[in-house]
Parts: sequence; structure tokens; C-alpha cells
Amino acid sequence: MDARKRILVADDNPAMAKVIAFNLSAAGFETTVASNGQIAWELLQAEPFDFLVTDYQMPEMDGRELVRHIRSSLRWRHIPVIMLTAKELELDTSIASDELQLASVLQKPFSPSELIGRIHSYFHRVCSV
Amino acid sequence: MLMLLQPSRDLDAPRRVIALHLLSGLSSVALLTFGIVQVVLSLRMEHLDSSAMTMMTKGEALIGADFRHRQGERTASLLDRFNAEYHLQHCAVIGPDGVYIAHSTPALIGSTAMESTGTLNQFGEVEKHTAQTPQGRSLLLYRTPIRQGEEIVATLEAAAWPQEWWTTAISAFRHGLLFILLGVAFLTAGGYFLFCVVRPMSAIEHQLRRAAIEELGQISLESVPATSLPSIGWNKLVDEQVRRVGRQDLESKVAAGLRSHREKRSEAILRSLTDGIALTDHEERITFANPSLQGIVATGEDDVLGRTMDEVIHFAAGSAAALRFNDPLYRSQQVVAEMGKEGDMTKGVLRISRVPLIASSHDASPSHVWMVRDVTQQKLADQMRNQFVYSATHELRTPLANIKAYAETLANMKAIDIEKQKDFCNTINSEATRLSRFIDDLLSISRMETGAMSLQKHETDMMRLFEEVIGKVRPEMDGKGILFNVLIPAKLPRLYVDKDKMTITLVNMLGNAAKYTPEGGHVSFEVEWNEQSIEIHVIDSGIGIAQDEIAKIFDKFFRSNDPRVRDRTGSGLGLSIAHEIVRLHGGKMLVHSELDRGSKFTVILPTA
Repeated sequence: MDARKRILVADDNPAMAKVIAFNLSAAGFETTVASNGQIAWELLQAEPFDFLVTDYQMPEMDGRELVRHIRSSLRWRHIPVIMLTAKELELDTSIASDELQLASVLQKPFSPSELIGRIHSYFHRVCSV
Repeated sequence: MLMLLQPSRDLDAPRRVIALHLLSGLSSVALLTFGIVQVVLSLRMEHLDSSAMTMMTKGEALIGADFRHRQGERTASLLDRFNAEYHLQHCAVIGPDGVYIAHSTPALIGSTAMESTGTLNQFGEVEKHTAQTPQGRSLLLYRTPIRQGEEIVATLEAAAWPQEWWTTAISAFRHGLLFILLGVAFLTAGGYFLFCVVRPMSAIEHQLRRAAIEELGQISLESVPATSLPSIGWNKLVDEQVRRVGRQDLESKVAAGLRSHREKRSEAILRSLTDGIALTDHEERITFANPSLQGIVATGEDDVLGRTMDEVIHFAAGSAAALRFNDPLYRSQQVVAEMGKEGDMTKGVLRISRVPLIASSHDASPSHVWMVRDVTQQKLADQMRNQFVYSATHELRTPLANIKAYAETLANMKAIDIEKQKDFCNTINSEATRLSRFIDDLLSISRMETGAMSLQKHETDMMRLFEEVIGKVRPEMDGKGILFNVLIPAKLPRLYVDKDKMTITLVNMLGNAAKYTPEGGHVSFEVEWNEQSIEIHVIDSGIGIAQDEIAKIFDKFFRSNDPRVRDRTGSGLGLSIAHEIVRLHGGKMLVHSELDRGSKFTVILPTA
């Protein structure tokens, strides 16, 4: 990794956002936190990011809406996304893969090391390709 | 006569008896009368003959003597006397040569004696002949010889008009009339008594004849005058029959009454059901609908009778399952389907079931019983429960996810400064508290549902209770920059309350105020009290509650549709639990709210 990857974290639960950001920073990523989908979308318009970690249920704009916006925009069409969800049935897996083209879905409660691991493995795969 | 003896359809037996009686009686009277006349005639004849004999003997003595002794010089005057005495047609003396030698009509002296047309009778020497006048009338001639010694010298003739038989009969009848009349009178009296005896029989026979011809059920038997034992017996039979028919009539009336009572009761039951019930005939027309059905389908038209269920409910607007009601293939099967009211699920949900009354395979169009149930509330409850499960899952997973993430981070990270470690531990602690509180809520709601929630009431210092509550919520208020006003009187009564549960209630109210009041808003906690009650107000400048939702906020699992509420985590249990706790304390919870302006929740507890 030549440059530090910039990761956007969107979660309305401040404690969760904080612990994710802490772990990502410790793993060597540059991290920005947004407290809902709307703020995340605004940040994406302003700054460049390499990866998005977003919660599913958020006020203003939820995770699904946010990823839809992303996939329909020219600039962010290909950004990898990991979705966090607290509800099993919320996210149909077919929607996750086909419509939203998610890199991964993580069920809460999850292990921060697993999140880091998935992000790493994604970047490694991209690098090796 | 023969007709009378033959059984006739026109004349009944008793009348025949009377007719026979009269006929035979009258015949007897006639025969009797005839007999009387016969007897009188013969007696009369005998009397006439004997008086004629006397007359002839006397005449022979007078005229014979004159003839024998004075050569008949006084014969003419004797004949006149004789003629006048016996009212004769004539009297004469015939000579031996058969010529009248003396005659009461002198012109005829010398003419030939009348010719006898036959000897009828001879009484001694008197002969009785019949003869005819020149005019052709019959005459009776009595002739007796006049003797001189042994020699017959002349013949005395007396001619009388014969007595006609009818004259004698009329005379006899005139004499016997009284007896004939008496006979007829007795006959009539006998006939009348006979009539009295047979009249009831006639009435009885008339009714028996009707019984032979007509339907038994249509005949009402009638009593007859009780003039004889048979008629008394008949009357008894009639009375018994009337009593039996009356009893049967009463029994059938009672049975009909019971039947109609049962039917009425069944109908009353159908009418009282909250489910809509309808019956349709084989043409699918509604023949019965209870009031609930009208209420559920709300067609706006008073009477659904005579219409089809499809016209009333419009199955085409419903789901595919509802279309089965119109499918002839399902006509003989039970069909159950759910569909929206007026085809719109948001207006309510109806569960419709249809059962064929005669479920035979070859009966293509049986009549049906329909049951329409409004399951809107049930569906809403299901929906709320599902929503609750989702919320509960989320509520459990979120703190758990945080705890796991923080604990793992602490465990895996090698170099974390001590301040960070403390911060992480605090977060774990608060998340664990949140988890524990939610589990408490779940337990409370479970107890509420089973009715097992009980209070541990103790005499409580309300000031300390309020201070504790305020201590719990102040950090959240401060965190959101909310202006938190507390207004509590210096002196407060001591109340018997369940301290823990009352704390839960007030923390919930203040927690809601903090949760739904935007940053920079304000929340007031105010307490007032008097002899009877203590009032605790929680007033906020938050998002408020829509008027149509105020009534539901104490319902279990209820969460507002306002997106500002939806975005917050919550189970919809807090207010429901708080409301129940206040109720168990004998108090009440009031709410006033205006959307976008704020809410005021008031708890009123009795001080006594």
C-alpha cells in the first residue's frame, strides 16, 4: 500500500462509529465518520474515499438509500461497500449482491478484527489483480 | 213405495221411516174407512129389505083384504095412502093377465106391468126385482102375491127408487168422520213423536254421510238434541272428539310456539354475533344478513337482502384468493380468503369464509353460509408484534454489538492509552446498562400482559425520589444542550409508592422528553400537590404528537409513524409500562400535545 486508504464510516450510533473509526485508524486507514446517510452522501461529494463502511438503519437516509445513490453516480459507481446490519431479515442477500453490489455484509454484533480483515483482503485482492 | 225401501242418497233412513209410518197409517185409515162403509152399506141393505118386507106384508094385508072382501072398491085410495106413507115411486096391483088393474098413477091402469130385469131376492113370498123406467132409471120392484084361499088372484107391486151406494157411503162417512179424524190425529201425533225420535238420527246420519265423502280434518262434528240414548251417546263422542282436537290444536300451537321461539333464539344469536353472517340462496342472492355484516361491509345502503355478496364486497378488487368466490369450480367447496375493505388493505382487512350448505358434488349451485370478520385489529396487532420483534432485535443487538466491539478492541489492541481504555470501559458499562434496562422493560411488559405486575409500596420520601430521577436524566439533557427546568415545592408529602417502578415511570417520561426534543430545546419538571393529590408535569418543546395518535400512545408496541420517531431506537413499551404503573398506584396519566410545539405529560397520584 503506497498511500493511506481513506475510509468513510456511516453509523448513527456514535459509540459504534467511534470504535470502528478507532480500529480502522489503528489498522492504518484514514477514517472519516458520518452520523447518517445524508451526511455521508454530502461528504462523498466533497472528498475522495477508497472504501465505505455503512450501517443499514440510519435516520435521514438509510444505508440502502445511500448505496443506491452511490451506484447511480458516475464517480462512485465502483467504490467497495461493507454494510453493517442489526436485523437479519432487513437485507435480502440477492439485493445485496445484485442491486447494491456490496463487497460484504456484516451482522451486528460483529468482531472489529473481522471488519479490518475483510477490508484488507479486499484491497489485497484488488492489488493482486 | 219401493223407492222408500231402497237406500237413497236423497232421503235418509229416519225420514224414510217417517214416510213409511205415514204411508202405512194412512193406508190403514183408508182401509178402515172402506170397511166401515162396507159394513154400513150391508147393514143398511138388510134394514131396507126388512122394512120392505114389513111394508109389503102390511100392504098385502090391507089391499088383499079389500080385494078379497069388497072386490077392490077401496083399492085406489089405499094405494095412494100406501104410496105416500112409504115415499114410493109408485104402487099398483097387477092382474093375473099381467096388466095393471090398479095403480097409484091411474093413467097406467090397463097397461102391461113393468118388466122385471131379474129376480134378485125372495124373502118369504116377497120378491125383489130390478126394473127400468122408460127414461132408463133403475127401479126396485117389490112384488107379493094376493091370495084368495090358495089361489093367487093378483100381485101387489111397490116400486121404490133404489138407494145409491155413495149416498150410503157419504152418510156412513159422515157418521164415522169423527173416528177417521181421530185416527188421522193419532197418526199425525205418532208421526210427530217418530219425527222427534229420528230427527237426531237424521243429523247424525247427515254427519256420517259427510264423513264418508269429505276429508276427516275438515269436518267439525256437531251435537244433536239429546232426545234419546243414541243421541246422548253421540253427543258424548262429539264432546270427546272436540276435546281431543282442542288438545291436539293446543299441542300443535305449543309446538309451533316452541319452534318459533327456537328460531327466534337462533336468529337472536346470529344477530348478536360480532362476525358478519349472511345466507345466500342457490342464485347467490342474500336471504339473511345480520346487523354486523351491514356494519362491516358498510355499503351505505340499508338493505343488502336480494343482492349478491359480490355486489356487496367486490371480490374482483381483492386478492387472487378472493376471486375464488366467483369461480364456479369452488362453488361446492369451503373458501376462505382475506381482502382489503373495499379492495383497499389500508382501510381494513376482512377475512371472508364461505361454506356450502349442501355440499354434494353433483349440486352445482348450493346455498351458502358466509362469515365475514373484520380482522383489521388482529392484523394491526400482528403487525405491531412483528414490528416489536424487529425493534426488540435491534434494541438488543445494538448495545450488544457495541459491547462486543469495545471489548474486543480492548482485548486485541496492544497500545491503548489509559484514558482511552477508561473511555471504552465506560461505554461498555453504559451499553450494558441500556441492555439491562431493555430486558427489564421486556419483563415488565410480560408481567403486564399476564397481569402479574405487582407493586412493592413503601412510605417514600418523594423529594429523594425526584432527585434520583433528575440525576439519571440530567446527563442526557446536558448532552443535547436542553434547558432543563426543575420546579419542586420545598415541602412534599410522603407517599406510599413502589419507589423503583415510580422511578422507571418518571425516567421514562423525562427520557422521552429528552429524546424527542431537539438540541437547544427546553424541558420542565414541575410538581404541585394538595390534600388529595400530587401532580407531576413533564413539559417539553419537542416534536409533539399528532392528534390521531394521542389515543394510541399508551398501547403496547405502539410507535408513531412520524419519521422523527421512527429514526430513534425504541420498543414502544416505555409509555405503556409507565401508564400501567401509574394505574396500579391508583393514579392517572394525562397527555396534552401539539405537533411541532411540544407535549405535556401529567401524572396524578392520590396522596391519601
